[in-house]
Amino acid sequence: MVMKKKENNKKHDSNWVLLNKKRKVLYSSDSVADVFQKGQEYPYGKVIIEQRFKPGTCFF
Amino acid sequence: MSHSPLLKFNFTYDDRFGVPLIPITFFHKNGTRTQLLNNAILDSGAYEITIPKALADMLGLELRPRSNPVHTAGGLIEACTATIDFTLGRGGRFVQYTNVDICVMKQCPAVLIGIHPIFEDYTVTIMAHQQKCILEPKEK
Repeated sequence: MVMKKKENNKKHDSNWVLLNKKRKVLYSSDSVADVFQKGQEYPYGKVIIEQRFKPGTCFF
Repeated sequence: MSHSPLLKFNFTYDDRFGVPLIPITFFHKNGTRTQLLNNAILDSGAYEITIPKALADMLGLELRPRSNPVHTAGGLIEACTATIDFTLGRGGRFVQYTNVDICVMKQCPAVLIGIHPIFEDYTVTIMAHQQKCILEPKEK
C-alpha cells in the first residue's frame, strides 16, 4: 500500500509572500528583505508582495 | 520632498486584516523600483512612513540618526531616518513621491503609512464597515 504524502499546509505560512497575478504563492519568507529581493528576479508588475497578517493580529 | 499631481484613490482591502491597507512601491537607492507591496498599513497613529530596517538595508538606503526619540505602543525604541522615493497606487494610477523622509525601525511589524506625507496631502476617509479607504487630494 502506498501512503499518500500529506501536503504541507504550512509551506507558505511565512509572514511575507510573493504572489503572481493569479495569487499563487511563488515565494515566502519571514524576512521582508528576502521577499523584496526575490521579487526583483521578475519583470516589474508580474508579481506583487504581500504581508500575511495572522487572523486576529492587532496593531497599536 | 516633491510629488507628481495627486490623484483620488478608492482602495478596498481584505476584511480578514481589519486595518486599512494600501498599495505602495518603493525605489532602491539606485533608482530601481521594487515590486508592488499590496498591503501597507494606513496608520494615522504613525507620524511618518515606517519600514523595517531589513527592508531599508535591502533598498540601500542611507540611515541617519534621529534627533528625537521614537515612542511606540511598546515603549521607547531605537530608530533611524532615511530618505526614499515611492509611488502610491496600482493599476497604472500612481502618484510619485520623491525624497521623502521616513522612519526606519529594527523591530517594525509592518510597513506603516503615517501622517507625513499621505495624511498631509489627502483627506483620508476610512470606511471600516465596507473595508474601503478613500484618499481625496486636499485642495491647495
